[in-house]
Amino acid sequence: MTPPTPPTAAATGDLQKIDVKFGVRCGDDLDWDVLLGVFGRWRLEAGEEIVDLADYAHVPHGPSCILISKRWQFGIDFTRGAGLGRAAGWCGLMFSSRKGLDGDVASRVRAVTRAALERSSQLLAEPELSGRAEVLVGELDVVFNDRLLFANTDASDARARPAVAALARALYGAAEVEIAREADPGRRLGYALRASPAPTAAGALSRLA
Amino acid sequence: MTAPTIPERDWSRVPPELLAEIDVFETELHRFLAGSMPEKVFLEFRLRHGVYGQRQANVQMHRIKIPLGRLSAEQCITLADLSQEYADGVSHITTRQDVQYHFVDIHDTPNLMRRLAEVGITTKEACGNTVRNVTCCPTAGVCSDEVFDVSPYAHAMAYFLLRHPDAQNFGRKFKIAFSGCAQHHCGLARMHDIGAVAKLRTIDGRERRGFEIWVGGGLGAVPHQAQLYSEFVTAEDTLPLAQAISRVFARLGEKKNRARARMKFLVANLGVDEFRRLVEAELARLPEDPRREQMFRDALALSEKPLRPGSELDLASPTLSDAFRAWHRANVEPQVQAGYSIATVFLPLGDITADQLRGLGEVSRRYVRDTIRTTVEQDIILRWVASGDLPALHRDLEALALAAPLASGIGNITACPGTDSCKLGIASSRGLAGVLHREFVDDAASGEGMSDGQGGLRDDVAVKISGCFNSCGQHHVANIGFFGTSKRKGGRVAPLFQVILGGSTLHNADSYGLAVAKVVAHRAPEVIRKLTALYDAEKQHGETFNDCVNRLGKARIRDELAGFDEFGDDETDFHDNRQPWQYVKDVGAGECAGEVVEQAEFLLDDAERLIFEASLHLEAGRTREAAEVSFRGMKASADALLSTRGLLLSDRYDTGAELRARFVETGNFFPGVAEYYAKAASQEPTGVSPALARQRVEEANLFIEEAHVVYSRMAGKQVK
Repeated sequence: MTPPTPPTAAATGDLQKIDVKFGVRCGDDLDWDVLLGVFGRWRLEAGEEIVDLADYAHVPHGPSCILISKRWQFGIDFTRGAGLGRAAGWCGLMFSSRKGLDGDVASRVRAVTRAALERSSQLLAEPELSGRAEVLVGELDVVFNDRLLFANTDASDARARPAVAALARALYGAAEVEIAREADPGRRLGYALRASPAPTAAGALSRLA
Repeated sequence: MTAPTIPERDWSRVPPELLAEIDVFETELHRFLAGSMPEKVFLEFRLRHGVYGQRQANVQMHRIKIPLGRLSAEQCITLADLSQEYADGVSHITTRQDVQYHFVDIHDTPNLMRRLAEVGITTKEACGNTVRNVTCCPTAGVCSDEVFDVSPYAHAMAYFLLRHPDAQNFGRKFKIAFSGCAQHHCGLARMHDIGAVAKLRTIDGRERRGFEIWVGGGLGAVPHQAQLYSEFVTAEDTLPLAQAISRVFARLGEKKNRARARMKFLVANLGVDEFRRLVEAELARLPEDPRREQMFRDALALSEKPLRPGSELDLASPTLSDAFRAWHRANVEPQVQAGYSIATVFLPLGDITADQLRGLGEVSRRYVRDTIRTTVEQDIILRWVASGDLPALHRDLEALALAAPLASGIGNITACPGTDSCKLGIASSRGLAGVLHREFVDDAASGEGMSDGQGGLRDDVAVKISGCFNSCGQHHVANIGFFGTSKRKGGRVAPLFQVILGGSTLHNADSYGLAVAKVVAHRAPEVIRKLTALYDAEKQHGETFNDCVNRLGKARIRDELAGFDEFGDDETDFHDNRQPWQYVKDVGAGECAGEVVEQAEFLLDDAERLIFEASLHLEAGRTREAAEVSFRGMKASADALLSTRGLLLSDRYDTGAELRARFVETGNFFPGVAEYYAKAASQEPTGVSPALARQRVEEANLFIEEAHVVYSRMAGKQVK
């Protein structure tokens, strides 16, 4: 067997880590512990693709319950996320890609957003949640979760913003969209998108098909 | 398919030797993934870099060593950032002051290590059969009860033993703790392989700092109390003593039977007097090492300074909120230095999100100068907070949801990762802890149950939970401890917890609890309420929980808990806490008790890596490097064989001479091949022609192959 060439120490590889968080509207009486049962079911049904679920409901303003797959993580999230002046405790559905992306930056951002919407729609259609929560497509954070590849710099912004803008056009069409970049250079490169009017989740999915 | 253009990362902030070490890890990772490295060897190799296979396939836990629990603001922020990029966005503080990430992809671990190294953090020897994190009272240096600040000595110990040749051939993990006093709970010195408790003694008219040394303590399935090795060892002598103890453990410790390989068994088998005699014999022949003195000097030069002038807090001020008062009562204690306080940031189950940890790092810069420590209670403390700043700090912590007044009460539950991520977990320790946390928080808010009536919780009972009998949650030293177990009834298995009562962390964890009863997992919270109610009803003359339980007796307690272990009628009996699905007992082989990899195997693998590296140098026309590195490969394989004869690398023997005497002249190593080593050793690598470099590499290859053959023959293995 030919021994592999030792890799260099420099950052290599392509962008695989993108976080997409959609806002969620729900009543104050919704106990997100229901995700334990839903994700437990998904884990059994999906087999090896799903690694496990991580229960962080005890952490205030935390990720609550995360479903962990080999290629992504998904769950209800109360973290500050991309920041952008948002207070802690912002409720949303967070989809974090880890592997399996290809294409240019715009394709990857679009693919992750689509996956986020698919998972969110699937989740909110579960019996425990049906009719109790709604995805707010017009409130969206996109975060480049890889400082080695996309540090929060103007140079990275030049590479990333066109992809985010393309996503906004695809999702929101002619609607008015505000795109704000994370101002703190120590935080990850992230963008908050606010659009009005915004399509429904089903409508957004058909636009990203 | 195109990847974006990425600028190369500049790793210049990482010390070159650390960068090289991480590069080696990455190379070995790729060799393993390519099938060029035995799994057993790679497993122990990656453990020694803190990479630990989780219960779930294909994901790793990465343990990050935080010696003494000491952190800077920059380190907090970096840890926060990396948890987002490489884990699940949460950092977990362990019962040994480490930080752990979960669900890490092994391909990410090299860059994770590099980025930690940029801020002075290593994961080296965080797991595996090595010296683990050296722990220390988190209030060392600011505590009013301490004999003296043990931080410099713990620091010197941690960095002296890190990567030390004498600490590479253990049969099991090795744990060291420092305590500034004999009476409190923070140091836990007496449940460690080496526990050092600060003492002063006057010698020749001069007051000397030193330590009472305890050896052979440990929890695990069967806890052992440490035995007194020495009533007083001077501070300067602690490093050579630890080295000598390491050598004895490496030589004589059990290596085949993993269940009996901790040093506590060696000390128990030998008796402490014989153990002491062996250690003193090692001490007598220990080579001089100028590093020891240098390490002490460096450690003593590190000192903490406050950021802001000391100030007082007027607790009678009407401007202080009830929430602040509850937090101050439970989470703040005064420092010995007037005008300053220690503020504990309570972390439920030891977990903190990236936002919170980053925020804490930023907040801390307003109040303290990098004087942050993790604790064995899985919290974080800020030292040197000016007392007058406490209300402002509290507000800042509230904004981060880090101001829960639960640091000193029953609500500060210790729990190991358990079945959430550990292969050895039997029941969900974190599930139980999560249920208790929610109930106790409700109690604090409502003023009922475990409430102290002032916004906090009662602080006279401590709860600790382990997912199995191995006691990573330290259930043996809890007033009420639990460890996970299971039971079959008919065709179904239910999760249970064994209840342990009467343990204590006081006096450096000098008393362990005893098992009294089992309880179905989902009823464990009821057991706590029943036992605390019993204590409240029965306690006499202000006795402690442990005193009361001991007085009532095991039989009485068992009667009180009768029926809690019955299951089968309720479907929830077959669910673990916070897991609304059928319980499945799925226990694997833990990597903390994995197969021992002899040092010889590591060295032979090192030789393989070096000869490959030499071939790359040769290929690139770097003849001097090719000759140098191929010689290092030969030396590694020769040292591998010599390690099987009891030679330790720190003995500084002459490899060539020892190889000749022990293997060549005894007919065990082919003399013609041995000559390659002697030849290479006698020739300078400079001015080596390409032809000669090629010859060297080929001869080194043959030498290493011969070493493999010899080793295989020794182990009775088939030679392939």
